[in-house]
Amino acid sequence: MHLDLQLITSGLAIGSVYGSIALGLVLIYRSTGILNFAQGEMATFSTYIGWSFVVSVGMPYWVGFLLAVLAAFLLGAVVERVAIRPVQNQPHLTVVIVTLGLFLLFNALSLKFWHSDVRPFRSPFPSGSVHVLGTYISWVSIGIFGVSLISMAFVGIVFRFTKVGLAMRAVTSNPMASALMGISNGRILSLGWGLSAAVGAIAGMLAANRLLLDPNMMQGVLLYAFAAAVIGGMTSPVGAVIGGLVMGVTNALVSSVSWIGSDLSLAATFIVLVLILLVRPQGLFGRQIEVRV
Amino acid sequence: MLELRDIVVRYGPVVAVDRVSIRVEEQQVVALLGANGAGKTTVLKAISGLLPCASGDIAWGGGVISKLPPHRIVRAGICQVPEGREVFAGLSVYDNLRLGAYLRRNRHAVRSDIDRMYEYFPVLAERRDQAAGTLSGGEQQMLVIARALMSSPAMLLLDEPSLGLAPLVVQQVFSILRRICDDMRLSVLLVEQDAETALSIASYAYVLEAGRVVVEGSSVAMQGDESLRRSYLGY
Repeated sequence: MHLDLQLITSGLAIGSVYGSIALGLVLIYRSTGILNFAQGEMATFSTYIGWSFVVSVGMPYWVGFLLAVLAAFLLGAVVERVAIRPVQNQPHLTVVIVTLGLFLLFNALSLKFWHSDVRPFRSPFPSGSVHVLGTYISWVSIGIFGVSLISMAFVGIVFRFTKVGLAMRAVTSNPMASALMGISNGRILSLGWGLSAAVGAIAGMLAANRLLLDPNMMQGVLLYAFAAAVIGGMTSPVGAVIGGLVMGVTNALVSSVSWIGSDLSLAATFIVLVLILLVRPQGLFGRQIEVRV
Repeated sequence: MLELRDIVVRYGPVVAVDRVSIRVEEQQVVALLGANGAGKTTVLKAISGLLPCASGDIAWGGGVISKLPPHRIVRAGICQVPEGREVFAGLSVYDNLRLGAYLRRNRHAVRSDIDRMYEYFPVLAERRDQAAGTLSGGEQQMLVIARALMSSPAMLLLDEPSLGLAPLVVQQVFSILRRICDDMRLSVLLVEQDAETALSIASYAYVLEAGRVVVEGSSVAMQGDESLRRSYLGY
């Protein structure tokens, strides 16, 4: 195993993508108890929208990027209103099936509009690398890491310092009481879904250059993101982000071991996950829930 | 004025509230008494829009509010203090109070109202940065009352404020409540099992039994009628 900086930064870059998707999962899970299996496919769909703006329409990259994020936000809010709210008081399994249905729906929509060809999507970051502490770190890694960190920090700021963020925390904490405060719970949950989808779209746009854009692009990422959310304790946004980084770096490091390689790296990474959960079953940032009987 | 006209509330096939009519005049404190399961909480939930009325309607300030969602009813000036001290447990006392004022735009007025709540309930000022879930039962009850008042309501719906509190704390909460009602010119509909305490603050009362109003009258009349007190109010 080479513990070199290059591997670690590349792991941090892809890990920040896992972290972004995990953050989206956790935001929805902690406020509604719903696992959104469509989180990755919605991100892929939004990435295609961005791709169309940039490549087909020929807009500057960052304009297309912003439009895709905006579209994702609206998409997330509409999905909550149309697909989730009608079933949110149904048994858990029903809601899970609905999000699985959304997974298939968005996968099929991506396939229908953009076909299954793998599409290269140029990176907005310069292609060279920068010389740091004796190794070369690519600008692409730095860019991916930086932009996802900014987007996740933005979510954190919304949550902690705005009135809407306070309302989101209130709905999460006690939906009945928040309704009695005059908060429209439905509108706040819609906003939460929109925010999650927007963060997911940013992750998708950033990952598209490295993973290559095809309708199944985010499926592997979703797996890592679920693991990241679990490591983080399922309800902690900070934990999800750190969990994503842990998954990314672990994966980069184990795949550099010659007898593991990239084929077995997924399995090896998940062994690390199991080891973490053996030591801390509640995740790194989760609270142990004690139920008094 | 709040007026419930023959409201019926069902849980599935079960009729929990059966043709109940209640009036609360402006700045009047009215008690809604009765045993556990009589339908008192259900009445409050119907007023707040948390449960739909199967028939009958609820009039408030010249309009009908029985079809509005909960957040619109808060906007109309009716705020409920729910039973069981439903604080936002993970949020600070200060954030809980801020959430009470969620619909208000005037930041300056909100800040001065928070200070006013700290004057009514000094213990909340001491604990302003503490998570609400770590407060004692009495402190949480004070917090949910203060939180509801932060919406600067015209009418307060109070659900069992004495529940699970030590008698001394109950007295303390009620004496502050009486002061606040006078200061803020509030109308109050107070649901209580502890009839004696409730009648000491209310001017009029209704007694609910199995979802129906069985007795109503002024507090003075009820306090003076020993047989009524024995059969319906349990003291």
